[in-house]
Amino acid sequence: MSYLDKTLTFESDRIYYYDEDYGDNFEVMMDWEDPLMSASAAYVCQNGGDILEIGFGMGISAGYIQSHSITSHTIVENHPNIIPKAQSWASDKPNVTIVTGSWFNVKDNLSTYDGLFYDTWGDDNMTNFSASLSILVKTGGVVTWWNVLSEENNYYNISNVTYTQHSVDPPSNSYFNNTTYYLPQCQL
Amino acid sequence: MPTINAGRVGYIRGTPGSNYTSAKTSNGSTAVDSPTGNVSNAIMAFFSSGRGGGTFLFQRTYLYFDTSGITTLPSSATLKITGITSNSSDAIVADGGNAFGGDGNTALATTDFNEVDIGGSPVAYSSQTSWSTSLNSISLNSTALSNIRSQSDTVFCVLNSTNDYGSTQQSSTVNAGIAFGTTIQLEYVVAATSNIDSLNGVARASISSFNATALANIDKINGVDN
Repeated sequence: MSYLDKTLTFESDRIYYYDEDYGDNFEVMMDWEDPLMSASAAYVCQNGGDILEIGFGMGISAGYIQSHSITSHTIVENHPNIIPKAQSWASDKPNVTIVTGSWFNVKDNLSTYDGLFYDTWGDDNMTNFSASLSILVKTGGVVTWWNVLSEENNYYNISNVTYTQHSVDPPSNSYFNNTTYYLPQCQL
Repeated sequence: MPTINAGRVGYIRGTPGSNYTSAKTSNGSTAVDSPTGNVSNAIMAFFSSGRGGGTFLFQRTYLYFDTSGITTLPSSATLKITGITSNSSDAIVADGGNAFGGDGNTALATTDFNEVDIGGSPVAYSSQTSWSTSLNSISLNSTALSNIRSQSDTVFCVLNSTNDYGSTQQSSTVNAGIAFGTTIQLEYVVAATSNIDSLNGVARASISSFNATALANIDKINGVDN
């Protein structure tokens, strides 16, 4: 069963699903990430303009992106349990557009952006992320993404990336158990 | 055939993480001592593509035996474990180090997760075996035979062979289950000894029968133990 077929449970501090193989709840996102979402939003919004956010999750980063002075905010989300939440959240925000489906499948219908925050789950197209940057981000635009690695490195083999370190204290969870988060920063 | 029941059993869940090696070598996150039911993922190599690159997780089973009564080198030994599930999984038995405190008197702890010493110098006690959903009879190698003779306390670790003991990263989850409610046993064979070196000047090794009776079926000849 793929991630998109999982029934997600939404609680105030986390989104999770039960994974039969894992034998336990598997967290998708948790609120301890709030400072990281804030910092990620600040980075991609530093030049204002048009912002693309791939993955809505708990909407934490979306809220921070909205707190900055930007022109437009496009959010791509593909999980059927999250899409209505994103649409509801966006209903009173005139500069927000919700695009449903896999980011890779809809990328040719998107624009180019001044800032991009990429944070997906169970993404079958992760290996295409690096090669897609040039068609999604303007020259001089900035990009960051959820960095699962606990070092100055990244899963996508993207070069010319700098990192800022953030001390974190996550509760035991299924996806990130380190005490330092390396926030990637990349300017095209 | 002599048999020893496991004196203490348990399984440990590792710490999930994006780094394959760290997931195998870090302390565990949960230890279950003396389970009594069926555990479908007692031996597991888990993978989820998850958040930003994926999550690796491993689960290992540890077994303690009091082997103080084995004073002669066994000619063979077999670990007997009743399986319940298998998702194309394989397994291997290795030296479990000092899990259970080494003597079976301490409950299995999260810090025991890598007593098998993956990433260091693990010692294999068997070859790779396919996991069965019925009785798994796993033959132990000469290293294991030597150690169960020399050690009063023996701890085995049963773990996934390809992805955990080996170094092949899994791209999907494989698991094997254990019926902990059944008795896990160590069965061994000690070669028979004889006080008869020769018969009528013929070396014993050259004699297969005596008076048409196979030598192996004779207890005594002229009052001497065979």
